[in-house]
Parts: sequence; C-alpha cells; structure tokens
Amino acid sequence: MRWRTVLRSSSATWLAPLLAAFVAFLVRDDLVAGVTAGYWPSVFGAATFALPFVTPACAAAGAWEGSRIARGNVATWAPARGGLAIAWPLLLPVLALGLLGMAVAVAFTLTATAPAGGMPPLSVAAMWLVVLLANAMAGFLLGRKLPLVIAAPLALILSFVLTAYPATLEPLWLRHMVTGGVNGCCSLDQTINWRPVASATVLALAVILAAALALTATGKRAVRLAATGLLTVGLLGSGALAYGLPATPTTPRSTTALTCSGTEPQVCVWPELSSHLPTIQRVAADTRQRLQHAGLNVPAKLTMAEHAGTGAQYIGSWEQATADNVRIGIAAGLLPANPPACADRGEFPGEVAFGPLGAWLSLTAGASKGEVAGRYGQQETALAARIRTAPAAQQRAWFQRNEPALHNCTTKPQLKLTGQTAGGAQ
Amino acid sequence: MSLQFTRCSFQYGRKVPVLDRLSLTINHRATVLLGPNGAGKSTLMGIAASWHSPTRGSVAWRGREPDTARHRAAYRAAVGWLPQHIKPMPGLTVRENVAYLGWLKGMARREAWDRSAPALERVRLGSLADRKSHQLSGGQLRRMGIAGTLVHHSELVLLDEPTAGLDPSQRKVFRQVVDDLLTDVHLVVSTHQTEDLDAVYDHVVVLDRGTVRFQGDTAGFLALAHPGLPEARRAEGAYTQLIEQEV
Repeated sequence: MRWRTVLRSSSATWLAPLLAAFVAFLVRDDLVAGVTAGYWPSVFGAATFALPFVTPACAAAGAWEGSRIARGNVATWAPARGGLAIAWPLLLPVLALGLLGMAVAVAFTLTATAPAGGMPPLSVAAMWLVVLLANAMAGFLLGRKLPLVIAAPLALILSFVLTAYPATLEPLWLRHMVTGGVNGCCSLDQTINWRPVASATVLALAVILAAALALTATGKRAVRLAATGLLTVGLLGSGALAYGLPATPTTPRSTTALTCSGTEPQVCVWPELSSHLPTIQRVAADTRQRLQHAGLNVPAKLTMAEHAGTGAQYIGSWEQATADNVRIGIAAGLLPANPPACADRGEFPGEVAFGPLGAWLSLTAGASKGEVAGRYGQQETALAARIRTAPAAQQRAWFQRNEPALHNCTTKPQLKLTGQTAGGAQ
Repeated sequence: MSLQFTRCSFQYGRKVPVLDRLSLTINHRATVLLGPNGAGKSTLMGIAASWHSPTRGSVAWRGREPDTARHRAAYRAAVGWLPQHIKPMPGLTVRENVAYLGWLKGMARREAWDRSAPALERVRLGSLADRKSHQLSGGQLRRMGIAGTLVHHSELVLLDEPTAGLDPSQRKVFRQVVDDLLTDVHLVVSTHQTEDLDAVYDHVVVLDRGTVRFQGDTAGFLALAHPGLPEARRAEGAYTQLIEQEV
C-alpha cells in the first residue's frame, strides 16, 4: 500500500484532529499546572499527564485497523508477506497519532515554560513511544478477533482503565507500571527516577513482543504459550522495577550540575537559573547581611543542593529568580527542613512555631509581606510583623527561645512577646 | 511446469477428511476443476494457493513447495489466487485495492501501484479505478480480484468459483478476461459452470468426495457424453454422466 493510501484511509488520520483538540481543550489546564519553569524533565513529566488520554485513542485506532484486516479477509488472499509486515504500515499512522497527541501535550507544557538549555529526557519520550505502540498493537489484535463495533470501544475503555485506573489503587507503585511515574516530576533539585520509567517500558515491550509473536504466527499453541510467557516475564520484570516506589519517585539531581558564583556568600544554583546568577548573588549577599545583622549565623556558601554539606546552606529549589524567592529561600534554610522524628510518634508542640518563625526570618531577610503571607499564612505573618516592631535584642531572644521547639517534642514554644499580644497564631 | 499434489490429505478441525491422500498433477495451460458441492474443489484450490496447509502430503508448483516461511513467501508470490468469497480492504479505492493485493504478494509499493492500472485495464475495470471498492457489483469485485492476481508476477493463477452468482453478461466478460489471461499465465479454475468449457480450457479434472473421477483433455471429457446430445450440452452431459455413475 502506498504511504499516501495508508494515510488517506487510516482511522488515525481522522482521529488526529479530534485527539489534538481533546488534549488542547480538555487536558491543557492540568498539563500546565505545576510545571517547573525552564526544566526539561518537568516539561516531559507534566506532559505525561496526557498519556492515559492518548493511549486509548491509539488502542481504538489500532482496533479499527485490525478490523480492516479482518473485514478485508486479508488472510484468504494467501499473502506472501508475514502478519507483522502487513500490520506495520497500518500501525505506523496509529503510532504517529499517539505521538501527535503527546507532541500537543509537550507543546502546551513548553508554552508554560520553555527550557533555555539542557536536553529533553529522551528516556521518557522512548517510554511514551513503547507504551503507545503496545496499546496500538494490543488494539490491533483485538480488532482482528472481534467485530469492529465491539473491538474499537472495548480497546478504548480497556486502555483507559489500564492506564489511568492504577493511579487510584494501592499499592502506589502499581501506577508506575503503566505510566512510568513521571507525572509529578520534577522540581529543579530532582531528576527523573529511571526505575518507574524502565518499569513501564519493560511491560510495554513485553506486550509489543507478545503481539508481534501473535501477528507473526497465529493459532499455534507454542506461539500462544510463548506470548503468555513473554507477558508474564514482562509483568514480573515491570513489577520488580516499580516495587516499593512512592507515588512520585524522583532522584536527587547531581550537584555537579550546579553553577556557582561569588564569595561571601558563594551562591550555587541549578543551570536553569544560571542566567540570573548575578542578581541572585547580589540579593543573597544583602539577605545574608540582614540576617547576620539580626544576630543569625548564615554560612558563606548558599546552595540549591538539598544536601548542602558542612559549611553550606540549602536555599530551596525555586524556579523563579525573584528577590522574594531568594530571601525567603535563604531564611527558610535556617530552620529544620522537616519536623523531628518524634513528631511521627506523638505530640509535637513545636509545630505551631514553624509558621511564625519562618515568617519572621523571611521578613527579617527583607522579603515582602505579601509573599511571606502567601508562604506562611496571614496570621503567622501578622504575628511575625508585630515581633519585628520590637527592639532587635528582644526579637533575637524571641527567636532563640522558640527555635529549639522545632528540634524536639518536649519544648513548648512561647510565641508571645512580653508586652505584646500574639494573636491567634498560637 | 506443473502443479503437483502428492498424497494430500486435509480436514477442517476434527471433521471427516475432505481430501484423503489425493495425488494429482496439472501441467496444462488452462485447467478446469469440476465437481459437486462438497467435492473438495475449494479445499484443493486453497491448498494450491498455500492458503491451507495439507494435514499430510505436499503441494508444489514447478518443484517449489511452500514448506518453510521463506519458501511459502516465494511460492505465494508466484501463485495468483482468487478466493471464492472476496471482501475488499475497507477504505480503499479499486486501484488501491489491486495495488494492495500486489503489495501483499511481496511487490514493492511503487511497482504494485504502477502495475495496478494496466491490470485493471486487462480486466476491463480501468474506468472504475478510483471508485470505492465496496461500490462494486459481485462480478466487478471478482474482476478486481483477478486484477490483483495479475498485478504481481504470477506464473499460475487459481480462480475459485469465479463465475458463481454472475449473470450471463458478466460471465461473458469473465470469459473474455480469462481468454486474455491465458496469453501469459497458467490457469486453474474451479467451477460448476460447464458452458463454453471446450472454448476456454484444454484440460479437465473432475473431483468428487475428495477423489479424482476424471482427468484428461477437454475432448476426452466431452467424449464421455451421450453421443446423441447436442454440442452445447455435451459438457454438462459428460459431467452428469461421471457424477451419476458414482451415485
């Protein structure tokens, strides 16, 4: 069949604008929500949200094409070409349909934030490719066996259920076997975890191989057994790779990627922010000075690496290089990142101190009240602002009195400043 | 130069065998395969096309057997085959369907496309090349199928019941097409139609209940008819004579 004929007669051709419109109008808002600005893994991770909507289209189109083979009684013509060779030209437009759907999704995540540099995570794109092909081939087989009116809707529904539904199931790692666990990826200090991606790829490859085997030689018992064996191995391999992973499995980004500048303080940021480094460095120096003036010790090295190491401080992994982000990030780095371990076992009275202390540090660092309120809450920020009106020594004493409450479960915070009303923040 | 069946047996599932150790050699230009319903004609044609694999025995065209995947591909490329029940590939025009049949037989896309137009002209469907296949009548559909057997370089063309259900005018067109085919391919046709048999075929095989009742040249077959029968009814008479003898 000429490629022109293939394209003209394929169900994928008329499904393409429908799928593109579906992704553009119905999935767009979810695609662009929470994309980390300028970061390729996040662009592709967010675009993966469209995968459970694109794969059913591929499965249904695959079923349609498979039914054409059955309706055309192609086998009765005693073709010299094998089943896979006959299926391939019909499946290629279906695969192209899937890639178009994902390309539209990427286009939207890219418009939300265009990465200035770096490489797109090709492993994620490869995973999409095999998942789409697996769905198309499975649909194709269904279409060969069942009447079109049953095969196409069945493929559509089954594909959607198998791709989207595991995300609602426990254990959490089940979902990674079908979509690769990259949906929530990644903030700038994270990168894609290879295990969930490999898990989805392995299962999809097993489906592809089993389908290829079924297409190459139908009806033979040995072939059915081999295909079942392949699917079993694929399921086990995929499950082993995904087993135990959390809902959003990511890997800490290598600190070798950081770009550093300046001294006193030296500031290290992720490459996506390197063009803003002079500004960040200037704001960071001012922030550090303000905090030190308030009697706080700020290390000379400020870094976006979460595990900063001795003599360095983590400043968060924000994606917009605004002065407020820099100031709030440095201020927040002076507090413990997480509650103490004892908080998991019982009462943690210091919990209420997190907000006011964080807000006070941020305001002291020079951050705007609006941004601080957005981060720590209105009441907490109001309390911190009142504390800020007290003499410097009194503020420092207030901070030193309450800060230990964040490190253990026995110290009760005393957020009221003598002579002031603490409001509802307690 | 022959199509050879050697001790071929075939059965559908666990049913009674349709063919049982049938041996037959066909080495004529135009052979007609006659027989009543259930005689095994379509099964034999299906085996000759390598659509069916014999449960025992073998088939060979010019010494080539479809015994491995590679050999089967080469065999199928050399043997054109028109099955009894034709369904066009949905969504394709008549010419696209013919080119597709050529591609299925192993031709390159471009070559199949280029050869599809002359093939359609040969079966007198050139004017309908761009029509959707599902709009064709039964007779036109069969001619489209024949064009599909011509588009690839077949040496042998097998037509299974090509005139079943055709009206007299369509049968006339079909006979003209067959006459034209015989200029460059070997032909085996299974049919119930005995009219004009001597004008088209030079060899006759009569099959009944999986066994060969008659094999010989057309003149020898016609000689089996009652001498008193008129010329136009002699083929039918010979056929009836053979089948009734058995009954």
